[in-house]
Amino acid sequence: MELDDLKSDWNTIEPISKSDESLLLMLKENKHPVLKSIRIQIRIEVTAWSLFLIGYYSMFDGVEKPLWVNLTLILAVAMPIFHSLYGYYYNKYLTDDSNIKDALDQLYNRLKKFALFSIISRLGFIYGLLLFFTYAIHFTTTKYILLGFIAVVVSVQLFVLYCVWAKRLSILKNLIKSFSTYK
Amino acid sequence: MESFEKEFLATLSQYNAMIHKLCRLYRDGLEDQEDLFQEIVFQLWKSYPNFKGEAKISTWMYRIALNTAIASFRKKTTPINYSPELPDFAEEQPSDELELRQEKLFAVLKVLDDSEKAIIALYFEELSYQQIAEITGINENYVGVKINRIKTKIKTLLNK
Repeated sequence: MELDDLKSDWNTIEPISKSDESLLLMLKENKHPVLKSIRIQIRIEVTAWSLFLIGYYSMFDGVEKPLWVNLTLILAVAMPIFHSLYGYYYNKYLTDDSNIKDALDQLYNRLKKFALFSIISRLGFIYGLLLFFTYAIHFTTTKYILLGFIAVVVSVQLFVLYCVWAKRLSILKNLIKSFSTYK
Repeated sequence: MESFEKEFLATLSQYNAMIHKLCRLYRDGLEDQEDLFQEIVFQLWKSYPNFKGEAKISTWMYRIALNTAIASFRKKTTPINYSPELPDFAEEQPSDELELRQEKLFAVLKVLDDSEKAIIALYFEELSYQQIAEITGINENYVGVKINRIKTKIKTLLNK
């Protein structure tokens, strides 16, 4: 088998025929599988955090804490929602009609910002919760140990998150290189 | 159906086979290929109002389809490792010879990296070096170099 045979085999491939109705459905944003799953996630997060915010003020003594601590908590719980909204926007406007090399450069920069926001939002979320629940607490040795344990767990989690993003960015960087340089 | 949608679907139908082939090239399972097809159609539709005719419609289509195939989310499935050795198809008994040849074609192409896949797909689609350069953003001479290297790689693979 030669390259020309492969080329002719490539040209024998027939498309799977699709009806106009099914193609029309593919044009709808609410039928897009990835966007649909992000929308469901956002709805769940908004519902869960709305319930939390309705109840926390009396249940977790928000009334006894300063305004800035309460505001920090509200901002912290909004972080995952902002993150999901960012993800929605990122996936909706995935690419454009730039050439592949430029599109990959843009994608790399967008992914880098998204990765940074992902890590910052996770950090902000954890910081907000910890600040609220430890504010004005009387620390004993046991509580310090517990806080130290939480800090270690959170650090490991953030490090794993960082590694995941670094790996994705590195794969993309290598792909950009393969379009740019003579190997 | 609105006339703008009709116009888009008519344009899309001319490139349906190309999109389908790119989906088979860049994704493994049928479900993943179907998701990618939908993603490409969605991205094309979203960009269609901005198509100003500065580039040929084919160039525009190839750019968005390939950009989407390379950039879009891949489901976390068990990775399929394509061996540089060609599989022994005699054991698998596909339904007909054409299917067997197509399976062999994709078994070879899937060994290539994403940039090589893009270039060889455009070469198989019989685009000129200039068109390939416009779509990929690399210069024409380098397109020639890349195609020769891919050809050598494929020949080595076919001769194993």
